[in-house]
Amino acid sequence: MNLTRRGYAVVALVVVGEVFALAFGAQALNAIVAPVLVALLGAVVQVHRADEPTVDRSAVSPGFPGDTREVSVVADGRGVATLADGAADGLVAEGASDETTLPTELGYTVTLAERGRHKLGPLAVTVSDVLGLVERRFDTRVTTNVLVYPSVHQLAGRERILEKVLDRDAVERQEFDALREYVPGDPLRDVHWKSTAKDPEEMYVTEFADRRIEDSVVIAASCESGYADEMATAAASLAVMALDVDVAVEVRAPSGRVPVGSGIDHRDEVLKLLALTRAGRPAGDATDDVDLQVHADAGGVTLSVGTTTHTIEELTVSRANPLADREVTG
Amino acid sequence: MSAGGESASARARAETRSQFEAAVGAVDRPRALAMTGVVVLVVSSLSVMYRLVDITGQPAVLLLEVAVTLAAATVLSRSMRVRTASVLAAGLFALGLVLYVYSLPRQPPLGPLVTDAVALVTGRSLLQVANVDLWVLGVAPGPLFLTWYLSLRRHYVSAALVGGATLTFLVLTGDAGSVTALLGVVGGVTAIGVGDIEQRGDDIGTAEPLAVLLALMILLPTFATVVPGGPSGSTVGLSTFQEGGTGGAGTVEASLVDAGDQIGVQGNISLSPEARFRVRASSESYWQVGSFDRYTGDGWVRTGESRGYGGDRLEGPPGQSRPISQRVTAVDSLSIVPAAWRPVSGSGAGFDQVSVTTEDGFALGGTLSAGDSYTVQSQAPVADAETLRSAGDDYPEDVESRYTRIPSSTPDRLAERTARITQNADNAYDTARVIERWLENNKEYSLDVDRPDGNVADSFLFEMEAGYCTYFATTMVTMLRSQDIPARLAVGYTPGERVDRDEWVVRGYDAHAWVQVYFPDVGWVRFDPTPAAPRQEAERSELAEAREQNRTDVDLNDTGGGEWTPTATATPAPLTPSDEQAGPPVDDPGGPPTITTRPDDVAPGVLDRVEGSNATAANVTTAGTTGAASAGGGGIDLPSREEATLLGIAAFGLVLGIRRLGAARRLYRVIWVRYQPRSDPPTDAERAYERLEYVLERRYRPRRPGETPRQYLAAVGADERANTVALIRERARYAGEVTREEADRAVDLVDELVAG
Amino acid sequence: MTDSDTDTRLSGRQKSTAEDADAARDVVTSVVDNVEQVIVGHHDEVEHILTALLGRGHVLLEDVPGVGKTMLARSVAQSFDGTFKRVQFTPDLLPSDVTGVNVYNQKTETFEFRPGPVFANVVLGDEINRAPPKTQSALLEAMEERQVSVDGDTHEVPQPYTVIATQNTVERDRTYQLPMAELDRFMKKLRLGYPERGEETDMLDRVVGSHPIETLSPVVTLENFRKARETAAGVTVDESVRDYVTRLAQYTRRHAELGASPRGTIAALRAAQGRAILDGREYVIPDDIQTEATVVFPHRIRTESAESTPRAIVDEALEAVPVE
Repeated sequence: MNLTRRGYAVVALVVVGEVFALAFGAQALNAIVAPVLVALLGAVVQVHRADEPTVDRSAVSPGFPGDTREVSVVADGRGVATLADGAADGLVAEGASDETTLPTELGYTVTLAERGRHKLGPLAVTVSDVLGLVERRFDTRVTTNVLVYPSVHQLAGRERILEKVLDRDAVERQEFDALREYVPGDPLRDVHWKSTAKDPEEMYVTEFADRRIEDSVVIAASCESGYADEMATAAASLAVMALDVDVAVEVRAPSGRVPVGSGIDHRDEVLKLLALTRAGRPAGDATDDVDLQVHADAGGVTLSVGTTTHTIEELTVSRANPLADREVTG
Repeated sequence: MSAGGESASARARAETRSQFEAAVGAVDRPRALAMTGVVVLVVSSLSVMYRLVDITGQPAVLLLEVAVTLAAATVLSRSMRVRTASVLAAGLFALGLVLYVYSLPRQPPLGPLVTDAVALVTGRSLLQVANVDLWVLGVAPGPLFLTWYLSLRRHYVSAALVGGATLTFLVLTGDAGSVTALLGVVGGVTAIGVGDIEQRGDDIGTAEPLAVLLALMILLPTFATVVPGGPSGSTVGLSTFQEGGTGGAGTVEASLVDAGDQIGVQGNISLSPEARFRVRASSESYWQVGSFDRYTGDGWVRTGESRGYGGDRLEGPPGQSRPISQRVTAVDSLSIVPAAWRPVSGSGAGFDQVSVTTEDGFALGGTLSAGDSYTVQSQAPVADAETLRSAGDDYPEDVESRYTRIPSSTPDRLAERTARITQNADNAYDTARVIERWLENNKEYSLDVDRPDGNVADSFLFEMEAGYCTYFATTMVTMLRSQDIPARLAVGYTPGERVDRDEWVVRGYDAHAWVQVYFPDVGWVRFDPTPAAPRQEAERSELAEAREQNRTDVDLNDTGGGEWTPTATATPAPLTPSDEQAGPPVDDPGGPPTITTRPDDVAPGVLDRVEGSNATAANVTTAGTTGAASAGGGGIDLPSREEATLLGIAAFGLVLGIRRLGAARRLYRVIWVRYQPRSDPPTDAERAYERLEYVLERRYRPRRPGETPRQYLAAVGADERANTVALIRERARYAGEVTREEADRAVDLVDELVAG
Repeated sequence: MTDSDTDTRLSGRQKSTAEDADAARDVVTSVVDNVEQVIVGHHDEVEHILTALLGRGHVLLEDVPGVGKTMLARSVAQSFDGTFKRVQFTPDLLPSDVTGVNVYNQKTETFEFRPGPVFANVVLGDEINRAPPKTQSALLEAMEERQVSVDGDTHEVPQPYTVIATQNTVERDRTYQLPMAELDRFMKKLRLGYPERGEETDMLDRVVGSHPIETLSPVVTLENFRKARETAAGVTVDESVRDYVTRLAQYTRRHAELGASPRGTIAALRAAQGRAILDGREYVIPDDIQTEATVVFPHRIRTESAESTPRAIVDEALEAVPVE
């Protein structure tokens, strides 16, 4: 708790008033000095009694660099307060401060700037009395995480990139996995005639082991230190391109991997992995089944498809986010 | 991290506000309230200024000036920049001061001007300044313009500072009283606090804590003085608003003689029988201590600065005069120089620090102790009735301008009545005699008086039946002045107890106020409209009582033995022409007053001219050198209005404060939980449940927000009855079905639970 | 969202009386008791499935294999004399395997419609997440529209109609994870979990010998069950309850990237109606909402951070949002 500029001025006024009264005895000065002193004491009491405000910030859905989100912070409490919400590097908050009376809702816009997971908050609340003589700062603790995906660019040459994959022999040997009894509703084509023929009473069906889905690609991403953003963008752009044509995608990045899958939720998983990944190489050394290898370093970002190598530059049609017009989440 | 610009919520609020304003026509409540605060602050200063101009000039001019200034500020607030306005205001202020200085008959050099300014700030009342009405007119516009301009530009803190500085200056000079000052503070604080609200864009409801604070600011200082005060040690609070100021009757002496440069007319008063000094003089006289030229409506002020006394001979009366020499010996400590009018020279104890006032009297710088003595030579004007009647009305200019002014707010009826009473008198002397006798005959003497609210003279003349010397004298002077006859109030002592042929012992109760009227080529002539007999009566009883109590400071060796009586017919030594004569000797101690007859009785009946025996008691709040302004000394002549406003604000804030504490709600709850008025079944069931929850809350703990009633009751282990009530209410609320019987049952069960 | 046997007005056309509620409750409890002859433990989940049935909603069971999901679904269906069909979803399952096909009848020289497994009172869709998206859609269409279109013809599903779908949690590869938009169509998502030890022993006790499901007989008629559902639709929902549910949903929307949708609020209210019946009331109280919220909301909520799971957010909401 400390005096504001006004508070110091008031104290000076009181002191000067006392001096004058002592020296020259202006009695009505009491009518000025005493109430002002009461105001000062009242201010101290009011601010001293103020409790730390409770803070509730809305969640922020993930997005791409350049996206904006509306944030709402509700601060509960009493009295006059100045609010300022913090934003980590990687986020740009606009209008995240206000001077008003509690309880209040502070609404502002935050722009997602850099890939990664960044913190919004904590909210700094400075409570003061009605006259602004005394103030007290509370550093609340509630923070909110914001996930920023890597930028996604529009790539060309989809057929060329994916043809190698799609050309793969679609017919794989079915692996025989297990036999079980027929249950009404099982498709007839799964009936294992051989076993059924042997048993007059029971029908048997094969239970297949899950095999690789044909239409899928494995994307592996690696980079030198400091080039993780470029790597992530390249890998994300490729994944989005593939998923757009219903090709399932598995992504292996230095920080982890997302198993093969498709769909919007799966795409978000991939984006999340690439949002958080650091620089380096994927763990493990299974590189045989990698279809698309992305590598970023000082020389640029390259994509290797089989034996052919392209630069991402030459493949990039536009830096505009191809997902911009669609729902990003859900 | 970067954050900047106006937040979305502030923008949204501003948008809503502008829409609201457009709809309601720019009536923005916080702004209106903040401006009201500024208005109150400005009015408090202006009320003081108005009073000053009322006493000394034409208040209508001030009002006009104020109107023009406010209009100009309003118009210019849209276009002029702050810096320009500040420069303009400063310029106006400087110009006003310069014009004032040039309006003075003699332009003093810079040095004394600065010292005067300092003196003002350290306690000298503006009423003592010459041409103070011109001073006010010059000085008022600058700060007023700036204050109003700033508040229109929403710089409320700056506006409050400028307005507050003006008010503080008036407080320092002692012309603004406590109530006025407090009102101004309330206005300024409101402006600042609500101004902040307006700038933040909050709504008016957030001003509630401010209202509570204002209530505390108004009421708490009642109980504690924060600033060292004068000898009265008065607090700001309501006690000073009572009549009499210091809350208890002072003495006449204190109110008149010790008062210094200002006196205020008070209420109840008393007499003090202590012996003060003894005088050995060549003839009996009223021992004058001082006189006052400026009547404020509720008191008197002596304008101007005293000058030093070098020991040389001062000017005497313009006409014929006779000398009186006197030797004054202090019996008690003395800080005055009582002497017959008009003193021309003096020496002795204390005369190294003596000064000569603007009223041509001596004033003591220090204090004499018992036993100290000094001598004074006086020259008393001599003229008979004929001379006085034919003195004419060719008054010297400075006498006329100084001694014929009464406040502009004095009701006209006073002049009209005076004219009627004196319609048969065609000269100043007869007019004075008529007024003097009229007052003696038509007003009673009393020490027990309710101080009037308005103009003292007007009230005494038309509304009061009785008063003491200050009232009589003030009224007579005012009545004379209303007929353009120069007159002034004189204070001092009546002769006292004559213990020897040429020696008198003067007591506290001999302090008195009387009238002096100026006659061309004669000088100041004494009149005394206070009835003599009642005063002497009061004096006598006071003395007797003191003697009974064996007080030691009342009698000296030679007192109490009865009035000295001259062995032979004493040569009349009139202070005034042949009217003053030592009357027939009294034959008992403190006997009937000596009676003087005048040669020309203007009216039948006897004019009782009693030798200095007006026992008057006038309480005066201490003022002047002690620097304490009287409670009634500030603001317009209506302190009750200001007090009422303050009390109103305080009451409002208190009510809000009590509400905030929830004390009222809690009190209400105590009753509410015990008794439930009946209504329709759903309402009854709901209320019964609310009471149940309240009871459980007090007994165990409150229900948590996310806790359903069933969970809550289970958690606190409420008994069967509680569960029944909850169930009934559940059906009522969620199924919408409840019978009369069920509702009654619920209420009864809760009654049981509340009791047990 | 359409619902063919009632409209979206939750109070239905007719308010249910206390007697109706009692009758419905009897129906439900007898079914529950019956089912529990076969299923050991999982009492809460059984009740949840029954209340979902009453509320005309579908259930998603997410669990490890082999805990008796099939048994559960089948015994529910058998208890009210309804038909039961099971569909095992595989990666190569075609939509027609789900909906049925038109088969050419040489004799009559017409195409006859052979209904697929989706036409039953209770349909168990096993491992729905393994099927390709098109096949999933076929089932979801049946759930949503209560009818399927095959070769231009539409065929209605029977009434009452409930789909119990399952997702395995143990997967080496996460394939064809049901997207959020589809998850939203399930009223509730439940986890069965392994039984308690005592329960497991008890179960083993029972299944040694002939499996009790063989001898399980219906305890209520189809008609009575339908009536119970109507009664559930007529359970009173007061304004304050609606308001409460809305505030809960708003809380989840504020504190998660994706919160409960309006479909979710309607689902919660319908489930609460079923719960009220089970508890013997003809009106919904906030407790019903709270009970159902923990299974109705979480699968509709998406959070990105590990610190607050969907379930955690729902718990927070139940604690923080004032009941009245």
